Amino acid sequence: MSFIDTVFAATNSLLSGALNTILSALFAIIIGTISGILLGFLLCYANRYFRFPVRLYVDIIRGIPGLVTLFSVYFFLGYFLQGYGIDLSPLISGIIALSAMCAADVAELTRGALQSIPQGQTEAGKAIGLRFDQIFFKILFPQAAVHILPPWVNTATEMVKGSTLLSLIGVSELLLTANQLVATNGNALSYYSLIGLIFFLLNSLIQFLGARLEKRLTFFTRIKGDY
Amino acid sequence: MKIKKSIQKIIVILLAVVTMGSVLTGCSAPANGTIGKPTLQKVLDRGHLIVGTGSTNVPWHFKDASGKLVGFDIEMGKIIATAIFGDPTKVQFVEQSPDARIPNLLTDKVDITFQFMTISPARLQKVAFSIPYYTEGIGLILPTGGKYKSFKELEAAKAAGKDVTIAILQNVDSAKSVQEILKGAKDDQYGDQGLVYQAIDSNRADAGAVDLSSIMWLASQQPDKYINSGYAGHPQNYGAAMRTGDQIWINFINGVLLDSMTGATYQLYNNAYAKYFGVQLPVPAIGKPAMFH
Repeated sequence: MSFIDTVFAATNSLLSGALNTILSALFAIIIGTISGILLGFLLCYANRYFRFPVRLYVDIIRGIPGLVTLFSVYFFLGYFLQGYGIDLSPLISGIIALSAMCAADVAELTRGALQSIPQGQTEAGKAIGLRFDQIFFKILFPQAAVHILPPWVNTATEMVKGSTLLSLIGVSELLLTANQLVATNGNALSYYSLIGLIFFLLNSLIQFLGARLEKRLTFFTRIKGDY
Repeated sequence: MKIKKSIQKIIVILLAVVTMGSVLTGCSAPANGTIGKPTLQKVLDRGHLIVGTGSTNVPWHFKDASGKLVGFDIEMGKIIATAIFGDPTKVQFVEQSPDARIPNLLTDKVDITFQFMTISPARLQKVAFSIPYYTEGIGLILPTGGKYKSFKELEAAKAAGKDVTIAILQNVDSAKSVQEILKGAKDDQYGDQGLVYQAIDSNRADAGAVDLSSIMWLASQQPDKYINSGYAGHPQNYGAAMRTGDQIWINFINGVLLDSMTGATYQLYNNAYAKYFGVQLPVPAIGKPAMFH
């Protein structure tokens, strides 16, 4: 069978591999972004008792390799939870580990973006009698979001690429699917090129959406004259 | 303000106590959980067997054209499921990379591992092995269009002072194995057998040291890409790995495997052997048990 024939024969495997890649990256990006923004907020505004554990978390996760985080979740957290009757499947473990990595990155991005906004704006908000939530949601966050977006797109594409780590705990995502096809059909270079192309397309889509969103956000902030 | 600070202090102290508590108890799982039960009982209660295996090594464990997990290791898992439940489908396969074989057992993710696992003294200190269910040999696979056409040519090149690189699957004694095959050869170790083939496809290595069974399969399936160098050696036994200390489970598995190779259930093993190694084994002799011949 030629390479193209084997690809057609393995369409289902490749589709399910792509689905696992997309699912794990998508959930990691969503969960990681929401929790990362919350953590970044805590890093900026919480008192030191809350700030300290968050800082510790962010520094530890950012300071260790993704593979170590993944193995820690899969083997140690999985073992610990098993005692309570909770079974962490490889896919769920992978999503937790990727989300943890994404959250730590987004927390730092959020902290940096919020702290880059001049203190005077918060003071001005207070001076005209706005509450903290009003200052945060109407003045600070819309500006911070514009700063966060470009590096966030970078983090999101890293998550898609990082999902290949999940192959090591047995999640049949694109890389493991390619390895399985190589094992049966040879043609390693062709299969790796094929999944490389799929990854490139996925990440191009994220970059395209990010650019659109960035345009939109900067448009609004320009209209309001805040930026 | 003072009250708020005291509350904060209490929260911090409580958090510290909880953290210390978890650290001191080693974050251990509760003793009444499922972990302490004998494996055979756990499998019976659960209603299916959980087998750790791979998905990237022909003919041991791989995906067929329809994406179904098949192979000799998969058949072994089915033999055990048949022995427990009388039903070869009562088995769930957990796909794992070779380096997750021992961790997955030790963290109770699988009941048993059938993943072309070589029985070695180093591994026996960590996990228990069943009796062997296959004796594998290492062979050398060469690219059809490569520099060398046989093991003799490789030996001659090494003797002439040329550098020879042999790709091999990462294992306890991979470096030692390469030296035993061809003294002085450089070993490139990879985490997956697929990468070993990739290494010879892309000329990173002159030859790949892989299981003879895989070489025979690949050389027959794709003669335009791979040839068998003719080297065969380094016998090694493949056994099923289990957690240590559960003698009931270990005895059970040994009994089932022994019976499937030499006794009443020989057809299960013989059929699997014929399907994946292309050889029809004889019916076990009547009289003195086959293993004592």
